[in-house]
Amino acid sequence: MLTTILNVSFTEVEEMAEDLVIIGHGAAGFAALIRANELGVKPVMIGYGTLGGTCVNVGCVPSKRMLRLAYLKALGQQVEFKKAIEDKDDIVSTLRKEKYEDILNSYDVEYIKGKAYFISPNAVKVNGQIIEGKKFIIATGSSPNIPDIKGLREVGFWTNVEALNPPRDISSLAIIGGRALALEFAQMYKRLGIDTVILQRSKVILPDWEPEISLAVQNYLESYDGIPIFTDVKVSEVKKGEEGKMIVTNLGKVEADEILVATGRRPNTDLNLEAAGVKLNERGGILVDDELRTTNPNIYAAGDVIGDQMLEALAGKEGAIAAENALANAHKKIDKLSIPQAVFIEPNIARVGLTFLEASKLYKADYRVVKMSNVSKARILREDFGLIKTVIDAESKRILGVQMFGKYAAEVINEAALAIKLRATIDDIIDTVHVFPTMAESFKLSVMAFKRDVQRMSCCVD
Amino acid sequence: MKLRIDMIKENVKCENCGVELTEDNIYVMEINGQKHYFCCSHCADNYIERKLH
Repeated sequence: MLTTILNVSFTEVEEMAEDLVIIGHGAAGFAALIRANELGVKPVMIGYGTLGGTCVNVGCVPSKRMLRLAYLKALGQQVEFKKAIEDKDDIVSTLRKEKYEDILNSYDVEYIKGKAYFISPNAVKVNGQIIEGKKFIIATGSSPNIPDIKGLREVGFWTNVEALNPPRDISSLAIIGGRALALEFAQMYKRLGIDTVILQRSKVILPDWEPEISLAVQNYLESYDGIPIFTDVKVSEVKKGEEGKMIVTNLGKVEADEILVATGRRPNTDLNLEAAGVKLNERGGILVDDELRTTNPNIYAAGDVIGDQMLEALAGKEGAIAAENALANAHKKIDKLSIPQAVFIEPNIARVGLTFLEASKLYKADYRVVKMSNVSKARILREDFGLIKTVIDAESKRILGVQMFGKYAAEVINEAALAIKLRATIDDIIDTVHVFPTMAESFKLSVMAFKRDVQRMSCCVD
Repeated sequence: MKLRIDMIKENVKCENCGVELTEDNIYVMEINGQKHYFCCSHCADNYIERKLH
C-alpha cells in the first residue's frame, strides 16, 4: 500500500491535497480562480503558454482592435498596417497586465507555469512536481484546427496567431474558411490595404446562421468591401505558385502571398486524460454534464476545452460555475438558449437562441425578418444595410431566437439575450418603451412585425 | 503580389427550380441531416417529393 510505504495515513494524504487545482490560465481559469477566492478557497493554478490565454493575446482583444483600426481607415483616417499592429500590441500588453498579471497578483493563488498532465484520477504532474487535488477544473482552451489538405503544411500557412502578428509583409491573403474568424480577418486585412479572398466549403458563409443573414453578409462584403467570396469550394491541394502560394480547388485556383487557415478550433485535451478517467465527447472536447462535471466526479471542465461554443464570455461564466459546483456543490447550470455571440465585422453580425430551422424541430415556430431600412436610427446614420430575424414559439409567443446583421448588432443582441433568458414574449418587448432613435428599436420592430406591418408605421408607434 | 483568381463563381441557387437565392427569398430545410437551400417552402416540398419518387 502506498500509504503504508510513505508512512502516512489516507486522511493525511487527503489533507495534503489541494482543495482546487485549475489547469489553464485564460478566461475560464481566471473566472474559476476569482470565484474560488470568493468562496474562501486558495487554488493552485497551472498555466501553459502566454498568461491570459487566447482571448487577450491572439483572440478577441487584438482582433477587435485591428477591426476598429480598419474601420477608422475605411472612414478615411490615416492608418498604416504596421502602425495598426503596434497599436494592437500596446492594447494587448496593457490589458494582459491589467486584467491578468495584476489580477493574478491581487488574488490568493499558487501559480505554477508549466504543462500539466494527469498521472491518476486525483493528481497531475507539472515540471516534475506531483500535485494532488481534491477537485480539478480543466480550462486549457483551444487551438486552431488545421484541415488535412495536400501540400498545406509543406507550403506553409498562417492561423489567427500569425495573422495578428504577421512575420512578414504581404499584399494578398487567401482565406480558407467562411465563419466568424474568416470574415473578421477578411474585412480587417482588406480595409487595411491587403487584398483578401474567402474560400468556403459549405454552400453559404456562416452556415450555422440564418440563411438570410448568410446571404446579406456575403452581399455586403462583396459589394461594399470588394472581397470575393467563393462558396461550395473543395480545396484539393496547396502548392507553390508563380510568385506566391496557390490553392487548387474544384472551382479553379487562387494565388496569394499567404494563406490563412480559419477552419475552426480544436479543444486542447493533451493532458493524459485517460489516467484521470476523463472521457471526450464527439467533438473531441471534454465530455461534461450540465453542471460541467466530467466523467470523473472530482474533475470539472470549462471554456473552449469542452468543444462546444467557443466564446470568451461563455468560458468566463463556465469557469465561475465550475468552481461553485466543484467547491460548494451548487448544482448550477448555464442557460444555453440565451448565450449571445457576435462577429465583429462592420456592421456587426450577432445572434442568440435558436434558428428557425432549429426551433421548428421543437416548437410550432414562426419568424419575421425586418430590414434595417425600416429602422429610423439606421436611416439617420445612413447605415441601413442589414436585417434582423426573430423566431418565436407561435403558441406561447415566447422569443426563441434573434439574429441581426446591422449597425451595433453586438450591443443590441444583449437585449434579445435577456429577453430569451427571462423567457419573454413578444408583448413584453412591445410593451417596453425603447429610446428613439436607437438601433435597439430594430429588435422591437422585429417582434412588432408579428402583429402589424412595420413598413406602414410612423417613427414612434407604441 | 496581387491576388490571382481563376475561379468559377457559383452563387447559391434553389435546389428545386434553380433560381438564384438572395436574402429575400432563401429558405433552408434539413434533409437527412444535410442543409438544402430553396427559394420557398413549396420548392422544398417539391424537391422532397421528387426525391421520394
